[in-house]
Amino acid sequence: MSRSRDQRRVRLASEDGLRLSRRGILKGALAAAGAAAGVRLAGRGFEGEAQAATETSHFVHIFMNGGLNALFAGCANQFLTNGTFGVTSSNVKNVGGGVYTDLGTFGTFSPFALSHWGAVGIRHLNALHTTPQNLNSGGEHAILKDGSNCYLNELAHAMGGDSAFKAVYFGDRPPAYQDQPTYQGVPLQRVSDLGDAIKALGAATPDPNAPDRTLAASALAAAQAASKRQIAANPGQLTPLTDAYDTAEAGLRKPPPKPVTFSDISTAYGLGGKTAVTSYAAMLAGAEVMIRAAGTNVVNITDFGLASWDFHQTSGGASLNGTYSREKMLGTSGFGANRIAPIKTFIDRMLDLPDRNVVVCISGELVRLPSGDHGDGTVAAMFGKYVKQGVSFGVDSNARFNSSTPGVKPFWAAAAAALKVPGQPFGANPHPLFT
Amino acid sequence: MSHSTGYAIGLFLAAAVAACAPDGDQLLGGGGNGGPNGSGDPNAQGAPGTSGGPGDATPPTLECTAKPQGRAYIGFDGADMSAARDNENVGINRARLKPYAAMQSEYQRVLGLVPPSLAGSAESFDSPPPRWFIEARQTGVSLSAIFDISFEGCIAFTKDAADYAAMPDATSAATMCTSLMKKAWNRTPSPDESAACVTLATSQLASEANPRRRWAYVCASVLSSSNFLTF
Repeated sequence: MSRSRDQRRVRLASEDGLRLSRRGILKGALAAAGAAAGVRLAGRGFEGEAQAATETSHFVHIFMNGGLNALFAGCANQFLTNGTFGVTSSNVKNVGGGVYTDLGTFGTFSPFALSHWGAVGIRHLNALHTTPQNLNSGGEHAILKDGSNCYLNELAHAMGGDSAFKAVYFGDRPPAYQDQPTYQGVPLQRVSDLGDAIKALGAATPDPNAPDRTLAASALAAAQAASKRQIAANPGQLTPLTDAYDTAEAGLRKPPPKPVTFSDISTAYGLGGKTAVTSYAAMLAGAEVMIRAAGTNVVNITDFGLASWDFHQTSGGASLNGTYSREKMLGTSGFGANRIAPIKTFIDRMLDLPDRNVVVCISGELVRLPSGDHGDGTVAAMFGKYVKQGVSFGVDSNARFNSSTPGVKPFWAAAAAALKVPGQPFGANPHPLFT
Repeated sequence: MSHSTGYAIGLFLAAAVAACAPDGDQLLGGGGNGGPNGSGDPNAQGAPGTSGGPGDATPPTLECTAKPQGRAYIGFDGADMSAARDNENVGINRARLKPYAAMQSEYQRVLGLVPPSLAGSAESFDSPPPRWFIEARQTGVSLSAIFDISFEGCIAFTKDAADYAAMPDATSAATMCTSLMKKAWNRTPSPDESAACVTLATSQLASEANPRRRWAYVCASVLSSSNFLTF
């Protein structure tokens, strides 16, 4: 039942990635008035917001669905000799530590990010896309699914803490195209409006006309009690409501954090006052909101569209994936929004905070081959204050992985290590860049 | 579809339903709104366990308790096409969340007004663009937003009515909770459903000194329950 629902949720395929996304054609802006009114400026001075005596960790997974070319993720030098993917000495950047990337996109990240960039290979052996028609296979499924569970909320659970929103996602469909099951009390929930999120978390300036947060929590608890029978009798559609009630109540009962103003967020990410998460920039802005206001452990951001980074085009037998990917990142040649700019903004604002350990992982589910086809793994670009610069199990000049390249669980072990998660929730970490 | 095919399917469904739910009232305790045992009249009321009455009995099982008597269909590959058929009891898994497009008229129906903030809340309800379909869903953030919208409407709803001038007590809370729930849910609440509302009104909101505002919390709670948010 949920499968068919998810299939319905997915918009038409954007084969060439050039079409506007469904959310991109959402008409009628959600005017900023509701969320912006009455909130006060906090500026950037949140660096000193110590939420706890110890540093808190946060994982942000930025997912280019359809595949991220390894030239961007840190392996551009492999393609220099043959000019594969259009890589030349004039458009590649030697980041250091063996990391090479595209000069005009990932190469523009801050010096701090570049010096804390660990590229990690993931050989999952599945060269297909996960789609609504291929839900139980494909690279996205391989990376995100741990049996029937999802690594995202497994990681959020392992990270612990007391956030009411431990794992959230932004995008127009759930990760791996299906609602992911709650893992040991940690659901993975979508956030669709930043103004709502700020209000729900109590991070906006108090409104005397708004309901008292504690009383609202009690009222929602009563609503949940009154809903119990109906939810039990309709598990297919309504089971997620239980998590929603639990999360909403828990969020309302928490003491409000330092104000997070939507106007500040809107200015920083260029949202133009729109609270609805209908743009790429809004998703990055949402990641910051959820980390600062909710202390969210894990945020997943999946670009709009069905396999919208799946550029198969070739010219004379040579892949044009590098060119199209670069254009999409920069929002040129009809690709609309610039993706790199909000990623840079997020990294600039969040990566080097004194009281937080924010780890940013940018990946697709597949590397691209010189022929224009898919590889059977991916290279993730991981950034974090404790990440060492380097490449761990990259690709060769044919974008192929060595057979010794670790698989998916070791990748999550590396992420857990970068996040300083106690123990080894995903087993031993074979990637020494992440300790 | 030919008449004969439709007739055959009808016979099959009839047999399957009988096998699943020989006595729907015992399974589901009635339920209005055109439910499996309801009259189809969303406003119909009745005694517990009868058509249109309060649904106070939790279904003993979500699945059929007897094997359906319909025939099996074997596909060209020899596989039984009915093997993967969902085994669900009658009336189970029918509820679906109301879309944003329905909420304006729903608030109007219950409160006689539309909360002003609803107009700018399409994204809170995950409203799809024109000509697109998305099955509505709710999360912690969106439920919190829905409560705020409902509270705004309920503040206006309770502002002048004499019924909400005094603090709720056990009697008035039971009366008003049942009345609100009937109106919002199109059915009579079960005792445990109304009890949650009464407890909220009489004890859990004690710190709210303004009676009309306290009633607004009660009202918003009713409008934030799945019984209002689904159809």
